[in-house]
Amino acid sequence: MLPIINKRSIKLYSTIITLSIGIVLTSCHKDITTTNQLGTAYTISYTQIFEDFWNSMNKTYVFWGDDPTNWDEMHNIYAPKFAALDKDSTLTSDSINSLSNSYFKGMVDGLIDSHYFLSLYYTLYGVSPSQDRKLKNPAFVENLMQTAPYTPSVDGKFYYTAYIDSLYLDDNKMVGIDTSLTVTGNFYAVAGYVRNTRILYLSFNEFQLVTQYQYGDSSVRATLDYFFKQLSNPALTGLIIDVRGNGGGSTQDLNFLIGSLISSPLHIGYTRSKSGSGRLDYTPWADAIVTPRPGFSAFTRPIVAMADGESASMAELTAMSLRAMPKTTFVGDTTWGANGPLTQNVDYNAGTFNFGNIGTAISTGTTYYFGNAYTSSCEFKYIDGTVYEGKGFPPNFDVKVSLNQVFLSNNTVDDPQLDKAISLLPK
Amino acid sequence: MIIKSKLLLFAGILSLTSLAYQAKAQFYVGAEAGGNQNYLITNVSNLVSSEYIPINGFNIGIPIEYKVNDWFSLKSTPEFIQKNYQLQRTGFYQGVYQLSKNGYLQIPLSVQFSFGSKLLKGYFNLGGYGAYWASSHIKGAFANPLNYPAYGTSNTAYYSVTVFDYQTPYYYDEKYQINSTKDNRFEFGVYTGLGISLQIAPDYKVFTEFKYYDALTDQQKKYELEQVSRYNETGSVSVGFLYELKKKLHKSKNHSSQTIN
Repeated sequence: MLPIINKRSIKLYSTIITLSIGIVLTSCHKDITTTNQLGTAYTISYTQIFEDFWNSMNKTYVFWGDDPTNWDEMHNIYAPKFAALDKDSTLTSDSINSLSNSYFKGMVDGLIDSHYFLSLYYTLYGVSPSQDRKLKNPAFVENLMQTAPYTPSVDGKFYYTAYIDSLYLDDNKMVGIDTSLTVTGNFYAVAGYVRNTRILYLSFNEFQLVTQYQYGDSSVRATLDYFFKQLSNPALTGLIIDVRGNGGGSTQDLNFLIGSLISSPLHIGYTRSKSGSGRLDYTPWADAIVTPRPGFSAFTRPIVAMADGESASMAELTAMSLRAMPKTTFVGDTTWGANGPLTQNVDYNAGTFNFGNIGTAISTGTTYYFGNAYTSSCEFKYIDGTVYEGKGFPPNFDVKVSLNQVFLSNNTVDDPQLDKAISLLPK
Repeated sequence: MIIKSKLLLFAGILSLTSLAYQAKAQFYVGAEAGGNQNYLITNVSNLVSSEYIPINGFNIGIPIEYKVNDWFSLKSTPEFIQKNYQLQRTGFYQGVYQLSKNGYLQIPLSVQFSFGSKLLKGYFNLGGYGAYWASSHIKGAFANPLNYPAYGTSNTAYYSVTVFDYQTPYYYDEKYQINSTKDNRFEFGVYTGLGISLQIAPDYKVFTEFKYYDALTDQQKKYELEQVSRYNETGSVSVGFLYELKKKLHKSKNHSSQTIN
């Protein structure tokens, strides 16, 4: 057999094979860096605290697909500002804190997440971008009531709860109050028929219905049992569920309350979260479903859902769920606009996080942070395909209220929104 | 810089082929198919209980070889190749995953150096490739935050072993919607291959080949600061055959001449 490779070829082979192996081996070693897990990076300067916060937001904030904030631009603007806080020896401690607060506020001011609350423990400062936006709107109910002659409510929620029962409901109404379980104030629920009608009315101030039903005051359970029993009353002509002024709570209440009105699963929208650390790494949209409660039938009579600008989170999801039912009308005002479910960050690698690890106490093992960002772990899209985060869910009948309409000359109050709701239902 | 130097080297190797060109070149075309395993090279150390694992796929192609002489050829195998991977969570979050099956239309171009007898040859390939991310399908599961069991029928385990013991899983199996802001559909890289071919007939040879594709371009466009890159690295084993066209072409040419005459 003739040799098919001469010495020159062997030399060429050797060179090429060596180069090839070199290429492949060097290609294998790609230098890919990322940040540490949330809150684990020890920070000793404003530059490091800023970078930790910026990166944590970049990787775990769940609304980047819809949020108009240019987060890269925030880095470009604020990185040098925070760096200056480390270098400028003429600044006093107070002025550094003040500047730091304003920088953080500037970064988050435009975020659409309306649950978002930035707590700066170190400087005892907090920022709620959605609250700040609403307080600039004179028509916002909270602003409106600031000049009210009095606050007609035991729980500070204006006129919706404490006085509604005496003004609008008949004498068989049920009122449940629990003062033991909540950290945000008393739990309050009222159920009864609107005077001279067969319209059933339910209102409560927080979504902790399941917890209250199981562990709360017996008056709450009795009130809710009364409501559920009346749903099957054949004389009933309509239903009003009023979540105005309700700031939300547990999502498990959806099946407890809305589940008592349906007999088949109710598709109310979609949720998604993060699927990686890239800003636009998302899971697909998962169906958001309300599941019927065993033993309950579909409620076939007309429903009015009532909510307003103070209705947030679960209160909005409740109004949306009711609106997804065929005979529901929504009366009131556009809701707060905080629809994204919250859970601990580790569940989805998204949502609430601490930042700026400033050390761990040896004696207790407690780690201290510069701050915390309270933010949704998931994004919610309504069944109509719209993300109402930051916008609020609009009513079918937008009933604005004025102080003159609410506070009457005979030292009592009226409720124009409830008047409208009652007018829409058969008596 | 690394990419540039490698491309220059690749161009240099290609230029060698022109020096080695000889008039008695032979042209082969055939078919090949095989399996592969793809690794997504990235860094997810910032994500709690999360890891990428390699996933198997397949590739089919049409190898084309331009044999310059007994030891030197130019080779290209336009192919459809899957580059699959899975992101999964571990520990308490076991069961949460996303399997990504990505189809690429890929065109490699290499120089091939052969050695051995006329019957049985070993060969070595070195070259580069360009690929287009043509399709993507995702399948997975995660905890659905708004889909609880009916009130009063909770299946919550007293001791939750995994997240799905207390949260309803959402399963999906769907086409991935390419995101034009984020996803880079073009991939370029280098590859090397080792193979053995057997001449089973005057015009036919069969081969088996191991190839290693190493992407030099990120799967993502540069759309954010502090971006964590993602690269495909794919090892494949193929079998196929090559058919020599040159003789046929000559025969055809002769036949045509005779017809005209």
